[in-house]
Amino acid sequence: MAEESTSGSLSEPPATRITLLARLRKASDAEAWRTFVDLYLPLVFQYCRKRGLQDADSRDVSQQVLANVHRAIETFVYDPEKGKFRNWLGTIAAREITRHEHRDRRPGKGGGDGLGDWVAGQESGEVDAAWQEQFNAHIFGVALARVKAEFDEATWNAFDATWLRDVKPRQAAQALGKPAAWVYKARFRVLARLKSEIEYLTSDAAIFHRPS
Amino acid sequence: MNSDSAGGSTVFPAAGCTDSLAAGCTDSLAAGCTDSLAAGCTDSLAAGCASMAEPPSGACPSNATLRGLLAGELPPDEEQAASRHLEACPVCERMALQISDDNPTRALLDEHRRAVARADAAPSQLDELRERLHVLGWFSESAAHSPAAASAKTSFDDGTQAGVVTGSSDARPAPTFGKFEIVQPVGSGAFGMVYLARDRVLNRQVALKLARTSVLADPDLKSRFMREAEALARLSHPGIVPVFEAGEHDGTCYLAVGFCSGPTLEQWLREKVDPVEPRLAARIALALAEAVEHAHQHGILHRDIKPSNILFDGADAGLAADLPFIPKLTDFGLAKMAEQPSGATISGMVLGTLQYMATEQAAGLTERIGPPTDVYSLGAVLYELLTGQPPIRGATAIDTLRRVLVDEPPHPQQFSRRIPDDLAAIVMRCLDKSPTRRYLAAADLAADLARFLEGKPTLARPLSMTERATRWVRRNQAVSAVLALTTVVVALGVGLVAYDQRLKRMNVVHERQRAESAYRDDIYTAGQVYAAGDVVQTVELLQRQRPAPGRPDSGRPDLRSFEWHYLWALTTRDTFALAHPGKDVYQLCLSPDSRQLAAASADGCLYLYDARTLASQRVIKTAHVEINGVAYFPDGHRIATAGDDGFVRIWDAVHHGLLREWRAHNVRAYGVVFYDGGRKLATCGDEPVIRLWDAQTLAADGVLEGHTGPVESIVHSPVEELLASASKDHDAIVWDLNAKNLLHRLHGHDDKLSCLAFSPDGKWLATGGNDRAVSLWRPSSLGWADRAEVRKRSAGQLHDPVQSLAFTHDGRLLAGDRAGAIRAFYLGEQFPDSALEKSLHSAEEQWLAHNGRAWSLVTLKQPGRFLSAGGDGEIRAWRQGKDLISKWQTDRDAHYAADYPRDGTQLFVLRERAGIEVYDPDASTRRFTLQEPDIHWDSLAVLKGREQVAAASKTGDIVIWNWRTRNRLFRWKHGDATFQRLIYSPAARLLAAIAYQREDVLIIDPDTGREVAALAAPSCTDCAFSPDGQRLAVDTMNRLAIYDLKTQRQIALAAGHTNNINAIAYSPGGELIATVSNDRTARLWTPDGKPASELIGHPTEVLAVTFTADGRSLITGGNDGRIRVFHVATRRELLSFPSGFRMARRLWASPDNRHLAVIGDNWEVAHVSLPRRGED
Repeated sequence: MAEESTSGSLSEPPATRITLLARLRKASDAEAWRTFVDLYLPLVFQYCRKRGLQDADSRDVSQQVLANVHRAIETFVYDPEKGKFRNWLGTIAAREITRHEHRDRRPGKGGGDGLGDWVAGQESGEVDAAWQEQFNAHIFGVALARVKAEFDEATWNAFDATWLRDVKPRQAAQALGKPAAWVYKARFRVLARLKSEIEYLTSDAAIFHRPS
Repeated sequence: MNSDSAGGSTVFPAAGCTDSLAAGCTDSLAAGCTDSLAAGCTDSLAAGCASMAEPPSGACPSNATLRGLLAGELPPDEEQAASRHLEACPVCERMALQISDDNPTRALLDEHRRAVARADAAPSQLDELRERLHVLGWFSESAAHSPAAASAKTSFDDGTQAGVVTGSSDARPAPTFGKFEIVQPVGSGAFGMVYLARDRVLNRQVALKLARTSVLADPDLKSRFMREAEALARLSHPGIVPVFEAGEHDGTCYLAVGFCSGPTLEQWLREKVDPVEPRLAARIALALAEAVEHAHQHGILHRDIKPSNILFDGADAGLAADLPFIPKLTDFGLAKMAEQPSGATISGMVLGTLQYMATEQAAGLTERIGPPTDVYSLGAVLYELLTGQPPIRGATAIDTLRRVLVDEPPHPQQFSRRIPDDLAAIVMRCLDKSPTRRYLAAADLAADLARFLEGKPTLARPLSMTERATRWVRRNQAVSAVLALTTVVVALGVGLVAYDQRLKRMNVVHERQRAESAYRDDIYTAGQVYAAGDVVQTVELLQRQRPAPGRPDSGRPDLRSFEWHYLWALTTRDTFALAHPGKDVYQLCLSPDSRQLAAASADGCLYLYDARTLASQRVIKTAHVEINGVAYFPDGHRIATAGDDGFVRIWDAVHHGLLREWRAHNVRAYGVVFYDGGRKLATCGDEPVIRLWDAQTLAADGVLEGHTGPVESIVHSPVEELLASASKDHDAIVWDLNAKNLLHRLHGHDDKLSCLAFSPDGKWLATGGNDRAVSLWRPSSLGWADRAEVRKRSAGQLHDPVQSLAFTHDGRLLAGDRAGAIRAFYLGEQFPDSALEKSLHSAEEQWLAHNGRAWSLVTLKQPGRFLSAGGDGEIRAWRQGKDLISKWQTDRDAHYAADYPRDGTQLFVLRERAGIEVYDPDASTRRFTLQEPDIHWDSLAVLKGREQVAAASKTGDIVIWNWRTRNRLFRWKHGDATFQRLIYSPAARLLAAIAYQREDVLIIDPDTGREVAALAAPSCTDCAFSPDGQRLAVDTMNRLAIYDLKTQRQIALAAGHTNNINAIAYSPGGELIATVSNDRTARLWTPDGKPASELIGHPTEVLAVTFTADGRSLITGGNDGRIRVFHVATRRELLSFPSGFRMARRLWASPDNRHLAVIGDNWEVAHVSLPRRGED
């Protein structure tokens, strides 16, 4: 079963490629930015909620995080030695949440808010597991939604039943009125597509293509 | 394998298996099969399968074939066979199941499921936020080059105009909102969504603006929203779109404003082909400036003036008959209302419109934002009216930001020569990067525009080309300082260096000149902002002119002279001790015996110091997370702390152990004080009540209720059982601790209070808050117990929000601010009411104490000494600064002259009767006296470098001493002339003497006393030797005469002054001669007597002049008592300051540029001494 392990790259959390930043850094591609926002805003927002922020606070903080990214992306020097982009983003999010929690506790505490203490060369060390989990889950959800749109209903249902809901293929085949082999094929094809979509989404390529 | 058998075999196992599937048929099958699979299914598949009851048709396909089947990559016949086999073979089914699965993806699925399970039931709508963030992308694009981008951006602008409907919002508005009927969405902006709506009650159209949800979440923000909306509603001006009401419906804050059909100025401009005719542009700008002024007078800044916020309303006629429409400003203050309460937010920072944004706003320096910020934006709009484009355009957001911070906009006349000089100058003055150089008020701009329209001369004078060039450089330097604080420093650093290098290549020759011009601008601005109370910016400006190794501009020449040292000395103080706990120290507290200092730190530690030396005695780690408040028990043996964890803890001050702890507040605890001799204590925290406790039992002893916001700080009166509290609700309250009731509510601040202090006699209370005001309160003569209303007796405005207050024991009030500056206000020993009104208006001293907030101030028992703690994690011990100018007058003896023989360590003063007194000026002590009996002296000459000093009497005597040996060298008599001036020549060792009522200057050989020459100079007052000793400059009949001493011939007689010349000075290098006159001017001349320039800026007669020893500055003394320092390189004024006299008659500068002696009216002498404080 050695060949099965070729998909092992996915067991590493999805990586964000360097060129994503390179492209975003040009800051001339509003479309790239939109895609970036659409992809990462819900993630950051959910992360904020998960970290216990209220809905409105989460909005404000995620706005701040993305805006920080927008500002920093031009000066961000990607150094793979320093860590992954996802960790960098996680660091920014975590820091912004911390700052929010500390904000205005006393009049003026944390007043260096804003541009002042931002450092573009932010170390992107390991972020907490919550972020990693959130990141993976989010990317997965987005990929799932996108892939679903690409397949006909029957194929999707076969995949949905046999992979997502663990219905036995034979049972599913009967329910769908299809041969079992067809169900296996459907399952295989959709999953392969899902895998590639996840890879795609976590690579820079996702950022620069309009979602269909 | 044929289709029949495959088909036949399909039915049975499939059916059987499916039926029993739920029972786990496949599992049991697999159980049997998997073992053999594990043993090597692929190799011995047939064997394994053969053990099964129903052998499938043919041998099992290889895994590769199976994979090919699933991927649809098999040739048709193979595919059919494999399919058929798969239908029948449970082993291969198992295999297919594995092949069509993927463990890592499944792991992601699990993570996803967990996340989904935990997520909100109703996921939040992020559409609006998403759109707002998308806008950032548009900012990245060059709007001008991309029509699509430009129009898309417009739809995000928060406009009240109809017709710009964004179809992009998914959230459909409800058809009604309270009493409003929603007609259609108009757009969305930083504030929130905007709708055209109809007020059903008043039956009028309004633009309805709904606030973002975050406004609701924060009660502070909400109350500020309401407050600011109230303020906006008070604005009533034909040039301002009215705010009708603000309110809350269904939990959403809204603002109903007048609906104006438009178009916006932006739309109007877009449709125009040609730029606006200059006079029309000026008229529009005038109308806008008047509207802005109206708002400023109500204390409201617009903060986001731009063409899309300006509506043309044709309906109202009558403002100006010559305008076809009335320009109206909308969205006053909205940018701020949408802002977070603390600091610059991204919405204010980036989502504002950079092209029209003033430097200080773009840089996020919110503390510097004021009326000139709006003036800038008005200028930017006028610029666009005139030229058809905004002054600053960049390719990307960062580029635009950089340009806003760095670039001078292209001069308007580059676009059209039709733009008149004066109007262009008005625009450029508005667009100055430095707020202090713009029109300081919109009214000033309006007035200048009116002058222009009336054809009168304007105040904004066109800049010369060199000025433009030098400004450019100044900007580079200015910006590097500003940017040190900002994000963009990395991005811009490269750009700046590149620009700078290009500049160097362009014009090496003028570099020095530009540096000089930058120096002049910085120092001049520093003096101005210091006078305006902005210590922080003063220091920033001075720092910029301080060459430091390692800085990118370290090759720069050091241009600092007397004026720099003067301002530096004003804004810095000596600390006599320093402690550095590291993190913010929020509160300091002295032990009752004043020997120990306790410091509450943000790192959760309580630091104990020797109060006099600040030597560390102990660090107590606490569980407070951050300690906010600290207090000693009256016995000094115990200390209480209050912290972020809501606990109050009591510590043994001697053995440092924890004695007691309890949770006093469910939220953060801020402050703790003792009363009732230490038997009770009061605490405050992040809630609107003050809690009282029994210090023994820790039982709750009551609650003081009356505030409506968190109580930031509490203080105990030093003489009564009174407590005063400062709250975020803007009020301070004085409480009777015995009766536990409210005595007085002190209402008068416009923002949160952060600190308060009782005077040592308990009669005064000082309060300070975010509104930057310091207020002094005093009860009636019956004391605080009197229920009569306590009125604010005096209020002063600081430049930054007030963070700490303390009274000294000698009648001063100290106030620390958020920028780290401390100011001392002298109230007088008794705090007399009469003096109070003015006392807080100007600080006696102000200096930058901390690099960060000045969190806490504590006065020590020793007079003039106090401690401060700051956001820089430092505790500093200060002593009351010595005045930079000291005056001394021992008796009625007149002081006629002075000079420094070497550096600033000795000052010779000639007194009429006492003779030459030699002082150590810094210590104000007299060292010795050189005197001859029975002589009334009149003038003094010091020969520098030769240790000789000469003095002349009123009766013709001239005496020369060696001042080191104090031996008299010569004494002789020249008739009975009264010598009013006596001057040594530097090299040729001659003495020049001017006597009253003589028509010439006597040149005397000091070795013999012999008269060498008499140079004709009728009615002369002063003379000066050239540094090489070859020439003598002397005034005569309002003119400047220059003599060659060798030939004794006059080589020049220069006219220029129209009144008597009072003093003459040669520059140390001999390249300039300065003269000052009763005609209120100072003039510079070349060595040949050609006019070099006129130094303007004297409102009165100019009496005295001297160059600094480095020749870089010229100092004059005037009949108004002020001393002015001029920059020789640019010939412009650098600084002016009061001499302490009503007139400054004569001046002497020391060779070290740090001392200045002044003879004033009444013939007293004063001495300016500038200490060296870590400035190099």
